[in-house]
Amino acid sequence: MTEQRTDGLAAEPTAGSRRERRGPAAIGRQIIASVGAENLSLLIALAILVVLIASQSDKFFLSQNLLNIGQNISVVGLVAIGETIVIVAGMLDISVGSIAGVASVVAALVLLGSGDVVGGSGLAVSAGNAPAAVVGGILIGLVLGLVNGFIITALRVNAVIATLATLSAFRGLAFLIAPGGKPVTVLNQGFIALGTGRLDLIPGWPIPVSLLILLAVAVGFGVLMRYMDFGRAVYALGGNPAAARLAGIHVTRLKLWIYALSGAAAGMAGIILTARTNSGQPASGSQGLELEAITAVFLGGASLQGGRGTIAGTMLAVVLIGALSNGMNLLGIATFYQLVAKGALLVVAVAISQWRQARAERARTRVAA
Amino acid sequence: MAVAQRVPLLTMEGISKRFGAVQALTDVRFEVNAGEVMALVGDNGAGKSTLVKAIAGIYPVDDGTIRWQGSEVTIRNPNDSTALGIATVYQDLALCDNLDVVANLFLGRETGAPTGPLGIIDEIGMEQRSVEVLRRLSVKIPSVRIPIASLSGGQRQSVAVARSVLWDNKVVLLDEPTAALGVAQTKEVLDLVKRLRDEGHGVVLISHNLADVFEVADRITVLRLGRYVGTYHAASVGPEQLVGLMTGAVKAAES
Repeated sequence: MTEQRTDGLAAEPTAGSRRERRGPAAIGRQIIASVGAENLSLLIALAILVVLIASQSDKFFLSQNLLNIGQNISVVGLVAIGETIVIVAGMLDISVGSIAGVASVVAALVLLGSGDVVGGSGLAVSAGNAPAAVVGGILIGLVLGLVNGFIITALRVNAVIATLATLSAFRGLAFLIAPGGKPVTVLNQGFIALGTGRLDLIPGWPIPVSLLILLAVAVGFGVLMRYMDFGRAVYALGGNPAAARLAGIHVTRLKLWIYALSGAAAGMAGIILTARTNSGQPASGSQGLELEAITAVFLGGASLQGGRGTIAGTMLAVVLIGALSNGMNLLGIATFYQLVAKGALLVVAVAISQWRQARAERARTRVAA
Repeated sequence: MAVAQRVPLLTMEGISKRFGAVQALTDVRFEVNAGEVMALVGDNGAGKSTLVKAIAGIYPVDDGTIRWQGSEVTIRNPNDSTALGIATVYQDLALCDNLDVVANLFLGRETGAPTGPLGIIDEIGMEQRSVEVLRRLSVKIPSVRIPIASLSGGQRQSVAVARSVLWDNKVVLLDEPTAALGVAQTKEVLDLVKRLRDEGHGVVLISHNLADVFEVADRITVLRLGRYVGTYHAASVGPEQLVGLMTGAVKAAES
């Protein structure tokens, strides 16, 4: 494109024009640029920490363990993809863990409705319609996301308050719809494969099905955000809501869609959760997902003010956080310390993002002056 | 008075607007021709903003006649205004800092045709048209691919103005385009206003800065306390007389 420029417009190649060159190196640079130098340094620090922890354990770099990490990050990864869209739009969704819990139970209930009840100590179901369970889980996520969107747009409740309320409400709903408030055991092998199955795509490296699902969803949402009208509108909404509205973007409808997509992604995570644990879980496994997902989004380069952040950056952060918690598990670090570490990581990620924002604003004031 | 012999692009007569107990506009007249800069001046509360928002469709008028190229029209909402070919540049509200120049120029119309939210953005076509329009208007920016946040105030305002003429709009409303700008940047934007006029656009300029008004305006419409004072050729009225008309110290006598 550079050759089409006139002298007046671009006297010399600028940082911006580099973006148009394609190829793996350019894409790599683009990811780094979107993550940002400060976040990048944090990510490098994290990577070093992971390597340090890993060097203490002879198991970390075994292919089996690396694939385990891949399998473990799929649930939080899916939630983080939806959360990225919400945060880029300048909002927040803290109900995603609860939505995953409801979807987990709903997927199990669909199997229950279409399969055979097996006797035993708890409620267990064999067979059942696995595709219907997947669709059901995603749909309930979408609907609960729309509920969030409705509360935020029609009732004008602040996004944090609205999703804090539904965090509680949806958690309760998950227990209410679970028969007796207890997990439903699932025995449909095809469904379970979504969570624990492996595909021998590369000899010696059986790739977890759930990791492939995460990759597919990440690529799909990445394209949506980077190359499509919808994504551009989301960035515009996060950057300047008034300008977005004046440009003819239907802001209310856009917000509804954003929360619906976040809910659907969380619903997908709930399905993987059910498949991995063989049971529809109202709470266990989905509790605290929002914290990890939000941490990953900010660590991946998003800003609390909105308008910045990418799916690729979030995925990079998800992998690192996954490796870190795997390493801590291998070293036998107690869960309580891990919780403290995760909380601290969120604070550091947001603090760096805020510092970066303030610096950018100072730079702009200098330009304007 | 050559301009008056053509049919004006936009004519407004007997315009009234009331907000509850406040009569914001009473029997106001206004017109703008193709290829002219019409300044709209008045003290605070004179009704400048209300009149501009009436043209933009944000505050539909209660009473009065609006003609577009001679035929009577109604402007009930911003879409009506846009559909006629009227573009409004709002101070500080127009741009997304986080997006680059191309994305801002095409915001809301990325794919040209309304292909829906899943339309693929035509980055190359958009960039080519952006370069074209910015070159045509002699807007100088380092690159069309840098975020708006890294541009100066004058460059930002120039991009906002360029966006308004990207879609063949005939009338461009500029609400205090130089309010936050330094001397050099103000000149940049005023030069752009002149180029819009030379291209045949009708430009409506609202400004507190009378130096700016005399620099670019062909005619000046003065409002005072929501009423029409008069329309004057910029060449035939001096700054002191204009201030007198705005404050009511000088009795209105149309030139």
